[in-house]
Amino acid sequence: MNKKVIAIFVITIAALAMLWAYAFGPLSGTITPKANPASLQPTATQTTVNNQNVAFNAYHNRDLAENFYTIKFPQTWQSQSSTQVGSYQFTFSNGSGSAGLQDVADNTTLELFVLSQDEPNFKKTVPGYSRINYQKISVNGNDAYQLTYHSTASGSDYETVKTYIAGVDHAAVITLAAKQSDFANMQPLFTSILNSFQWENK
Amino acid sequence: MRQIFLFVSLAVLGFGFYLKFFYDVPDSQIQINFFVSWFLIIVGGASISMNLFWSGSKRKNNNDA
Repeated sequence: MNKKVIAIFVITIAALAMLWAYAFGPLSGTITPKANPASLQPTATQTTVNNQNVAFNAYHNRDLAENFYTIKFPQTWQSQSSTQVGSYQFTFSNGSGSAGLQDVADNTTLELFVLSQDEPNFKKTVPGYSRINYQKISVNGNDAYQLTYHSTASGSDYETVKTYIAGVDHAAVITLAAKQSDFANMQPLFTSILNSFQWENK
Repeated sequence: MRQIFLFVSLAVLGFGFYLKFFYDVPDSQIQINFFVSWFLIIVGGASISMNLFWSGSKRKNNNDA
């Protein structure tokens, strides 16, 4: 047999072994995307909410190349460690807030994803889920779909506003929740957080 | 026969490049997409190379005769 053919065969086997090591073996950690440390370092800003100056932290997320974004959260909210790439989680007295990226397949639309996948999932997994409102809105010129729902946790009633903002590859999902008794008071702050969202590379 | 083998090899290579650069990969399938696309590219490329070298060696033998 031709020596060159044998050499190519041997090299191919070696390349496939290396491929396995990168895909599933000891070197596999290099493939999956990781959080960029720069994404976790906020810059302090001031924003007026209800005629009051509120201190915010502006986060510039640099985790996924096609989906860089900026969002501001109040400095008083406590940051929770998040393992998901492109996401932030916060808690405050009587509620929580989060921002993250959601992969939406090419063969569906964001609205279809919200109504046919995410909401049915909430009905199964969120205790006391009931939809309050659903609407199409615009967030800084981006199409967005906003789902407002009621849920219960630890004997308390909560209201949550979940906003899905269309993006290039992934959609951004901003979730803001507060105890039902506090929800009306929190609305201006929630609106301010939502309006602070911007895609950076659109 | 050799042409069919070459055509199949090119198809395998092309499908590998499609999966690598044009297919919208869900977040949960990045690893499997990485493996399958590179597998097809390597196997396709190696098959084409082997095919070309093999036929080259046959031509050389024929010329020698």
